[in-house]
Formats: sequence, C-alpha cells, structure tokens
Amino acid sequence: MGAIEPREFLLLAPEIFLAVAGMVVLAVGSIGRGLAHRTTALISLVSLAVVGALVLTVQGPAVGGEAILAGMFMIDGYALFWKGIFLLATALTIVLSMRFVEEGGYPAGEFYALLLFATTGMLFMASGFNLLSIWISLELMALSSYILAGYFKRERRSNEAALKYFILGALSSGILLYGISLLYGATGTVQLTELAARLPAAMAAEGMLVSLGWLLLAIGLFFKVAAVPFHVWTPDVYVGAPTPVTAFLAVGSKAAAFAILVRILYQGLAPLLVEWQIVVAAVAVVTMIWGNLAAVTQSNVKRMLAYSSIAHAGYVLIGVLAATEDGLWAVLFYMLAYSFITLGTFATVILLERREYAGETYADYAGLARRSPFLAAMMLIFMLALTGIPPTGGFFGKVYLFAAAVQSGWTWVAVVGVLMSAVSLYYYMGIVVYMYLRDAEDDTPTPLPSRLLAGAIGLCAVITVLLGILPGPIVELAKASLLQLP
Amino acid sequence: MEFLVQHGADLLFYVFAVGALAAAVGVITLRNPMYCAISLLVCFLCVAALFLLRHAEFLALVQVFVYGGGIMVLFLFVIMLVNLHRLRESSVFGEYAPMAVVLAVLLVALVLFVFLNYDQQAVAAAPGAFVSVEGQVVGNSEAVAWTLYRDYLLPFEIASVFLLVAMVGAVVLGRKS
Amino acid sequence: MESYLPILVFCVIAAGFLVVSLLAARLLRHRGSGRTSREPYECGNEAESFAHDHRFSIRYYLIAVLFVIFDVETIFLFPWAVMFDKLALFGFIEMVVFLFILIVGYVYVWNRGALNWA
Repeated sequence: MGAIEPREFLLLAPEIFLAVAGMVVLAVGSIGRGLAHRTTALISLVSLAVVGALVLTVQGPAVGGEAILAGMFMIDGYALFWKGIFLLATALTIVLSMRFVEEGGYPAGEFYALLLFATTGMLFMASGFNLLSIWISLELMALSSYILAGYFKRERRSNEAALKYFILGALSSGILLYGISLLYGATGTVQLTELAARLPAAMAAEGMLVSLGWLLLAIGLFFKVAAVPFHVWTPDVYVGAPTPVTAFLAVGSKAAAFAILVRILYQGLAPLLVEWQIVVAAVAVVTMIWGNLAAVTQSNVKRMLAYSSIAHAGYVLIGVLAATEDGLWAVLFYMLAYSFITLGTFATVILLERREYAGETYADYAGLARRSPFLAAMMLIFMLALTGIPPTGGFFGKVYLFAAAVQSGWTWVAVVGVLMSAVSLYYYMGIVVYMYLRDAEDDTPTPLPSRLLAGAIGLCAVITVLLGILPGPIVELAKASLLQLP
Repeated sequence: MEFLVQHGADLLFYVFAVGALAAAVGVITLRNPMYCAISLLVCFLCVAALFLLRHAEFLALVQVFVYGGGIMVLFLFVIMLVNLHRLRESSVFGEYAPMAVVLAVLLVALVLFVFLNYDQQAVAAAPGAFVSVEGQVVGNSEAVAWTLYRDYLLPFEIASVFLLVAMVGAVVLGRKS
Repeated sequence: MESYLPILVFCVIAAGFLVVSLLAARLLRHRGSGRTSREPYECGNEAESFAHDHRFSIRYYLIAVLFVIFDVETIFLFPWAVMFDKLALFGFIEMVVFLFILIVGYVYVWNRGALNWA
C-alpha cells in the first residue's frame, strides 16, 4: 500500500469523534459522585447529534462508494443508511435509560460511555470492508454489550444475562474468526472484493476449506442476529438485561449484525450465491417458525419480545435471501421501521416496569386502557406494527420483504412468513386483549414518571404510523443506499 | 555431531512436541490443580518453542507473554479463589465422558484427514508470506509489524478502544459498590 | 535459526541447574516427620480452618484482569519497537494514540479506586 492520505482519516471523522466522546463521557462520569447523571447523558446525546451531522457532511459526499485505507473500510450509501439507524437507536436508548440508571443507583458515566463505544463499533461495522476490520469492530460492540447486559450487578438475572451472553457471544466470535481464518487459508485475503475475486479459483482448488470457512462465518453471523438454531442465548439475555439495554440489543446490535451479514454475503461471498441462498432460506424458515411458536407460549412480556425479535430476524432474512435490489431496500426499510417499533415497545415496557421486575407479565397489562389510555394506545400501535397490520410501518416492511422474495422465486419462504405473521397475531393481540378487555385489580391511574420518556414513545409511535401512511420518502432513501448485488 | 547439526531442528521439534503432549496429558490427569497449572505452563512454553521452529517469532512471543504470562496468572488466581476440596472428588469428565470420546474421535479423524490429504510441500512454502516486507526477507516480527502498523492501523486503534472497554468492564463489574 | 543456539544452551544450563540443585537438596536434607512439616504452621500452632473456606475479595480478580489487559497491550509494543526505524514518525504517532487511549483507561481505573487496597 502507498502512503496514507490524511483525507482518508478525515472521512472517518464521525467514528473517531464518537470514540473520543466516549472517553470524555467516561472521564466526566468518573469525576464526582452521582452528580453526573444528567451531564453525561446530555454530553452523549449532543455528541451523537454531532456525529450524525459529521456523517452527513463528511461522508455524505462519498455516497457513491469510496474504499479507504487500502480497502479496509468503505464509505457508501449503504453504510450511511445503517449509520443513521444506529445513531437514532443509540440516542433513543439513552433517553430510555436515563430514569433507569438514575433510580438503579448505578454509575451513569460508564453506562453511557459503553453505549457510545458500542455505537462506535457499530459505525465501523457498517463501513467495514475487510473481514478483520469487521471482526474487531463487531468485538468492540459485543464486549460493550456484554458489560451493559450485566450492568445491574445486584440483580441476579442481570448477572445471568451477562454471563450467558458473554460465553455464547465469545463462542460465536470464535466460530466467526475460525471461518475467517479458513477463508484466508484458501484465498489468501480477507478484503471483501479480493475475496470475491479469488473465491471461484479457491473453490476449485480447496472446495472443502472454502465451504467450511464460509459456513462457519455464516453461523457466527447467525448467532449475532439471533437466528434459529443459534438463538439460545437470546431469551435469557433479553429478560435479564436492564430493559433499555435489551432495547439496544434488540435494535442496535441486531441491525449492526444484519449490516455486516448482508455486506459479507453480497460482496465477499458473491460467487457462492447459490450455496448461501439455500442456507439462508433454511435458517429463515426455521427462525420464523420457531420464533413465533415459542413466543406464543410465553407469559413474560420481555421474554415474548425476545422470541418476537428472533421471529423478526427470520423475516429480514427473507429479504437477504432474495438477493435483488428490491430485497435489499426492503431489508433497509424494514430494519428502520422495526427499530422505531421495537424501541417504542421497550420504552412502554420500561414505563410500566417497577422494581423487582414486576410489571413484566401479561397480567400486569390488564386494564391499562383505563389506567393510562396514552400508554395503552401507544402499545396498541406498536403491537399492530409488529404484527404487520396497516396503517403502520410494519405492514409495508413485511409487504416489501415478502414481495421481493416472491419476485425472486422464493415464494414458499414468503408463504411461511405470511403464515407465521398470522400466528404472531395471537400473542401480540394477547397484550391488546389484556389492556382493553380485562379489568385491573386496582384502577388507580398509572402516572407518567417521565415526560421525556413519554415523548420518546410518542415520537416512535408517530414515526411508526407515518411509515405506514407515507413510506415513499424512506423507500426512496433506501433505494439510494443499495449495494452492488451478487 | 554432523547428524545433530543436520537434523537439529527436526530433533528439537520432536523434543518440544513430545514435551507439549506430555504436559497436556498432565493438565487433564493430575489431581492437584496447582500441578495442572504448572503443566499447562510447560505446554505453553513447548508450543512457543514449536512456533519458533516454524519461524513464527511473533506468535512465539505472544504465546509466552499472553498465555504463559497473562492467562496463567488468571488460572492461578482462579485456583486460589475457588474451593479446592471439591475438585478432588469429581471425576475428569463425569457424565459427559461418552460425548467427550465421540468428540475426541471426530477431532482425531479430522486431523488425520488433513494430514493425509494436503500437499505438505505447498503448506511448507506458504509461511514465506509472513517473513517478507516489500519483497525483502525479514523476521516474522518485522513482517507482522509492517502489516499491523500500516495496513491495519485503524483496526489496531480500534483494538485499543476495545482494551479500554475491557478495563471499564472489569472495574464496573468487579468493583465493590 | 542458529541465532537461537545460545538461548537453547541457556535453557539447557538452567534446566541442569534446577535438576542438580533439587537432587542435591534431596540427598542432603534432613528427613523430618511427614505430617507436621506439611502443616501451614510448622511451629505447632494448628490452623483453625482452610484458606479456601473463606471468600476472597474480588479485588484479586480485578487486579488479575487488569494485568492481562496491560499484558496484551505490551504485545502490541513489541513488533512496533522492532520496526521503529522503518515505521518512522507515522508509526510513532500511531503508537502514541494507542497508548493515550490506554492511559485514559489507566487514569479511569485509578480514579475509580480499583487499585486502592485500603
């Protein structure tokens, strides 16, 4: 490689700025005791806004696609779209966390700093164009997430969540790295375009090595997006982690994992399209079926949402499977809509949660329509959206995904998706039935403890509905953020 | 003496390979956890010597520093912290013995398959890529440095943020509150 | 490979020294009664309980983990030092950034009292 131009670093200014902001938050949080809750949250939110502006101004001009640092990272529209999702998800997570962290009496600086570091990892993941740079970025996100999952260390469930997440996460990272090393052994490169160029020859010479390599790589990624049969960590982690962290995992981590999954499959493993389509199809079908059926049997709302997030990973995989432009922008649109819906849902759960994990069962939602008409209405919108009923963003998201699959000849997978969406009606509407048709034991109105949180919920609901009425602008944006197809 | 000079490297390979294997067997069969740990250390050092014989100096150093140093310290701390009385009563694999046997057989089969199927000349030639900088043959550490600090400089800086997160995690989860 | 010969000789001499001194000790030492000399306090005070019956402070664990982290950090320094002249100023700045980030961590750990043994 030649000399490194300063401009290449300038292009990565948003990511570098965010890492520095994380350190500043860490420093501010560790001065003084307990005073820093609001300050650190504010600094974090402001720096996320600055990063957003930097992404638009610095990386925006490069949407056409520019590989930097000898093909280590790629700035393109695809990366920018994901970065938008990550930044919004993290900002909302911080809003969701503020009351939680303050009441829990846990140090705030580290919490927000870890969120920012995880987001830094996610931004790098979106731009990662080399299996190793993708891997280290993924690890940065994952390590921060493990710690966040165990952040409420006086709660045993939080301990359990962190431990399970760490052990299975480390295992999956190991599998991922093993796959990468086998691919490197067969092709001699980890850079995605070079990998795609050398794969056909390597496939002929070292067929076993390549097959094993990309399979292990794919398995590692399926772990991260929580697809069946690599989902076993999800329910316990989602239930045990502090709820804002659960929201962050369900939205941010999952989206970041999809960002690299799609990029690796489409750009790095493009010559193996036929092979990986079969695997993705199988995983998508199993994931949708198992996720939805298991969600039906749950009585804890957080656990139900965990299985629901598994099921949604299955729907998104349908779009990945299509490997067409329509499939790709459907995935982008869906992940954006899903992020707002899920964050809104978890925000509502947070508002209803009380100490000792009360407020997490379906029964706790009984009579919510009377106790708090606002929250009940919001939850209704989110549940409709998760099921995929108009007029919500969830409806169009699913329509686009299934349509893309049908067009590319994967009709049977789309049919499974539709059937399983019908199954999901049962458990999503279960909450609605409790909220509107069952009576609560006591009818005292549930107060809204935080206007900020209520505002965040409202915002998510408005966006969810807007995406269901006017999906056009976001669809256009997603269409402008495509990758080169395999 | 001539024989020694000619086949010195091969002889050393066998010495360290046998040493590593014997130490590894010791790790799982010895009953005193402290002896197990020391045995593991011997195994790490033998493996480091094997890396040296393959001209992978950097890996050898990592093996000694990180495994022989860091990981061993962790092991010793854990041995110190857990209750040792219970360990002596438990059998090595317990109820998982059949599964362990199956996995061991599979692993041996895999290694044999690779050993019998791959072109050993080609494998022996490949590590050349790890000892050259811009076409010149140098040491392995230099080659690693050249790649790590030029091509991979940003992932390298990400790794330092990663280590920072690890520190924060250790303090957050390990500190008395 | 020849350059490692002195190290090998050194290792052999070190191992020989170990074997010789252990053997010599075995030949020369006084054979005491087995049981008493294995007690924690050979002077006759009986130990009241085993060390492992007590819970250890988590600080030990914390120190061990921090040690491993800094240990990994030194690994990055080594190849950099070997190539210092070729990597030149660019490599130097790179390493300064790397170390700066870790110093931030170090200051944080210090500030949070994780190294405080009081």
